[in-house]
Amino acid sequence: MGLPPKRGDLILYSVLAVIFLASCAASGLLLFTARGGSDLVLEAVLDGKVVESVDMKSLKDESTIEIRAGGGINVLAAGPGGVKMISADCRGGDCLRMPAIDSNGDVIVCLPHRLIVRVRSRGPAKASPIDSMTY
Amino acid sequence: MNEESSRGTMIRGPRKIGMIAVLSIVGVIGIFLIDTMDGARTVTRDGVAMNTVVSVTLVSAKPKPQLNAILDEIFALIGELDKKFSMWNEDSPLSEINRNAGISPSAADGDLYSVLETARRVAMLTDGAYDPTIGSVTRIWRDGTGEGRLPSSEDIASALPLVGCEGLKLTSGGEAYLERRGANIDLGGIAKGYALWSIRRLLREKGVGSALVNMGGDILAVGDGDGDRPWRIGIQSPSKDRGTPLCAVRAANTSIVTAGVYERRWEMEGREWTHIYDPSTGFPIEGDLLSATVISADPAEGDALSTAFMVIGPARSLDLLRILPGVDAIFVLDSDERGMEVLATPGVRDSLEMFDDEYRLTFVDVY
Amino acid sequence: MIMGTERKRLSSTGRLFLIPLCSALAIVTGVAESWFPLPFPGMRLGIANVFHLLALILSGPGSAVAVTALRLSLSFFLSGNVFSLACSTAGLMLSLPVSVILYVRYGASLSIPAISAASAFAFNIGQVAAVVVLTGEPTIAAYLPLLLAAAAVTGFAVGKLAETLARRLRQALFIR
Repeated sequence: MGLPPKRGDLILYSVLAVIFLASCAASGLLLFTARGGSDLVLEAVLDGKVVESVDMKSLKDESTIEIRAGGGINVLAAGPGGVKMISADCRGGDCLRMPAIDSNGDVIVCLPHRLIVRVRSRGPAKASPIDSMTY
Repeated sequence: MNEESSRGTMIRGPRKIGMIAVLSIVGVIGIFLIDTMDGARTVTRDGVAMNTVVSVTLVSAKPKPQLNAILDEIFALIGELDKKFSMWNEDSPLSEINRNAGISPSAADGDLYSVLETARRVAMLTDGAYDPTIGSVTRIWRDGTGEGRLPSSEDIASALPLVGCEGLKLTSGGEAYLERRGANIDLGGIAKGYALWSIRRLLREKGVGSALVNMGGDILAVGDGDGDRPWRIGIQSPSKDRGTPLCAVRAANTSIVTAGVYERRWEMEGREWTHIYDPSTGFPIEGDLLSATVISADPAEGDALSTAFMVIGPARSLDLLRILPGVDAIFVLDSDERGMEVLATPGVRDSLEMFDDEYRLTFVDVY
Repeated sequence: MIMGTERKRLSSTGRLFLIPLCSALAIVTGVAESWFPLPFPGMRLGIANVFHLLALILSGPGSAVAVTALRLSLSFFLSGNVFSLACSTAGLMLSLPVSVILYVRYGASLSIPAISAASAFAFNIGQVAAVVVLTGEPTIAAYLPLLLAAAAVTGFAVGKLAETLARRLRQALFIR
């Protein structure tokens, strides 16, 4: 019963096998990198708009980012504990005293310049159990 | 002839079918696109307003431009309230009331009148532990520290008699009058809560059924949450970095407001000071209470209550909570005798989740 | 005809009858097999594809496209599930050209089960791609080998079934 396999079948099956093996390799790689990487982005937000966006992994120690905001300049620097505001020509300079940020949801705020620097997870569906913080 | 016509249909047949097929695929994709536009989406905007960080998240099926317009309106609303309520802005309607203290009544528009009414009500309720007329005291401390010194005890003694809500008259004609000359209203302890209240009204008008607003740590939760999950609000750990929750509560259609002294402490003349003033002494508060979180339907009331709770401490606060049905509270303490502990009212028993084992959790029966 | 074999196609009247019938059967089996529990979400037996293949074998690419389009639009109206529609649309957008091209161009040297297996492969690749795009979660793609392994088996079986059905139907309908 049924028709016998044809000449080309073997070729097609080999192609499918190659695709399958490639998908196995890709999936292995994906699972491996997903475990290692954290996919965090550093964002500078001014008046609700993201004015600067940098991959956290691309930040080496002591690399700095300069942001012009609210009529002044804020300078961020990456360090071992995360990203910190190292210089700001605002009055008060509260942002300089804020702790370094390195994980999803962390923020540094410069009120006089209306600047928010935050760390965000790139994936939209980050299963964080907390929606917001009261303090 | 016959041959030709039959070939004609042979060509036309599959083409027609192809056309129908392409049209129906386009139709399906069209329906799909329209449907995605109708599905609930989440938009978030962070900004700085009312001198603090404001984050607004809307979950709605409305088109994105409409949601962005609503976000614009929310931030405009906060800006407008900030202008009206600021004690330090000389042009604000509040400053006019302060300037005319002991001289004449000043006009208070809808929002200002409404916030003063709520402020006075909570002041009466808390026996002055929260008091909007604390302004004369905050002004003295600000003037003093601005010059790098602590205010003198004479200054404080002269400012204290000016504090007291019995000196604030609100007329039915929409006017406000401070009877004592030199008295000052400071809405710092209620402005954010009132802004949240106004935002909730705006969201209702616009038909947004699900939203989460965080105004410098004061939270308004509209609706049951994001999708099937209730909103979850973390309460800041006093000893850990910003963003580290000590515990979390589930929130639906409520407001969660925290007053705390663990963060904005400042140092002068060899000791640390907090930024919450006790209306009865004129000095910044001291004590083992690190933060008081109030969960209530009215964010303005919750805001003022959280300040009052910081002033009177957990024991008297819990007494007060007995006569405040529908209001829940979570206190975080660190005392020499009892160590680190969290006191909570039974209303949050089912929704409170602890993350930090160092703190002992106790539910206090207030009913 | 560019057909490699001397198989005859259905008449246009026959087509008029075959397309709605295959679509209806595909929808019904599609719904029925969704009730059949399988160990992983997104994994399907794919019996409904028998009717796509049947349309392709008996009546040609145009009919296969028509059956696919009808099935997609009607099952959307039946289920109303946008997410799963988007995923199966993406899957079919890939699997349909694969089966049509393989059948029309290389039909002479390929058996139906092999074509069906390739088509099932394409379907799962398209489906997973859609899920990744819609959820923005690339790690879901790691799940693909599992789906492909299942697709090889079900695709082959479905092809075997379609082949047998097509042979029987052709005999019954006296098309030869």
